[in-house]
Amino acid sequence: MTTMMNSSSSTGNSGNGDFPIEAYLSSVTDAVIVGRNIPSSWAKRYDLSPSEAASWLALIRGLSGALVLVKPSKTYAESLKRDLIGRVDRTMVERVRQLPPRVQIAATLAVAAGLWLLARRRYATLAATVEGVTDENAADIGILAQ
Amino acid sequence: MKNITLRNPLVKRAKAFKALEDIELVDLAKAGDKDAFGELYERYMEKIYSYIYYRTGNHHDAEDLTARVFYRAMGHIETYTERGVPFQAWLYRIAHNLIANWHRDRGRRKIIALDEFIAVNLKSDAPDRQAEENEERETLINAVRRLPEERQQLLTLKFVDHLSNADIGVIMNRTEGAIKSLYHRTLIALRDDLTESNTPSNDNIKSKKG
Repeated sequence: MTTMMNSSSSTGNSGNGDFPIEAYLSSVTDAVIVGRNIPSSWAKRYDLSPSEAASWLALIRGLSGALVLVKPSKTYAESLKRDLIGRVDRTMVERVRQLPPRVQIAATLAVAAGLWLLARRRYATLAATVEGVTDENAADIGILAQ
Repeated sequence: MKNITLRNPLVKRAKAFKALEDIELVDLAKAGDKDAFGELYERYMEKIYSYIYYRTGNHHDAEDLTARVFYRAMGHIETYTERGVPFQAWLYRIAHNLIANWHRDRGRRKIIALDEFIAVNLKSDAPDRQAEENEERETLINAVRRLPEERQQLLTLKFVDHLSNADIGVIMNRTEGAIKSLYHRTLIALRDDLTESNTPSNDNIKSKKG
């Protein structure tokens, strides 16, 4: 803020006809908003003294830092959408995230247990099949030996 | 999990909408597709909310007016024709009119504390630095709120909503050059206000007067 106050007495009409101060301020603002570097050559190009350029830059940076997007609560946003169009589309993950933490943990454990049971059953079936095939092979070998 | 998501037709549809242009969504919404309007809502709700918040100064009225903007947009979408005014600009114009009515109904000057905002948006680790930044930010925001209505509108559209001068021009019904010029005058006014409020002699004069 102190830097902002150290501005020169100029009202900013120091730019030449081709590059007026309005264009300089707009360019600097665009660069600040997107986080781009501002070359020192710009001030010279627009015929501004370094101190004046610094004071404008400080003011613009201050505004960029102060005026930021303010988001409404998620509850409000979803509630309004529901009121407007009748429903809110959410993915499975988003739905689970809406649940209380204890329910999320329980759901995760239930899914994990289900997967474990399925894997175990599949393994058991596979093992039985392999065992059967081995027995058949042994029987075949026995018959051949006789 | 991806398969589960893709199997959900609503989610699939919502994803397809994301690829559409505003005007295509508007056409679908005009034909009665509420989901298309839902996508437009998703695109602009936060920006409109933020814009209204800075112009009213509190979340309660921002919520109320944001809801009114979208209800009005949905109710009048059949009357919307692009004609050089993009859907986004149309929404901002609705918001602007509602805010103007809001100020008129209350007959209040637009200097309203944004204390919640100050506290929420500060991101500094050092407490001393944080307090200093907080104070600077508050001073700046108060100076912004002392500006005339249209200048506040310009700064909000530029810094909060990150709109280009051309887009701001469409919303404010001015040329791009006029917006650049207005922005220049706004910064000068802001700088002068900050200089004045930081001058000790002026403070003394003010306190003597007060």
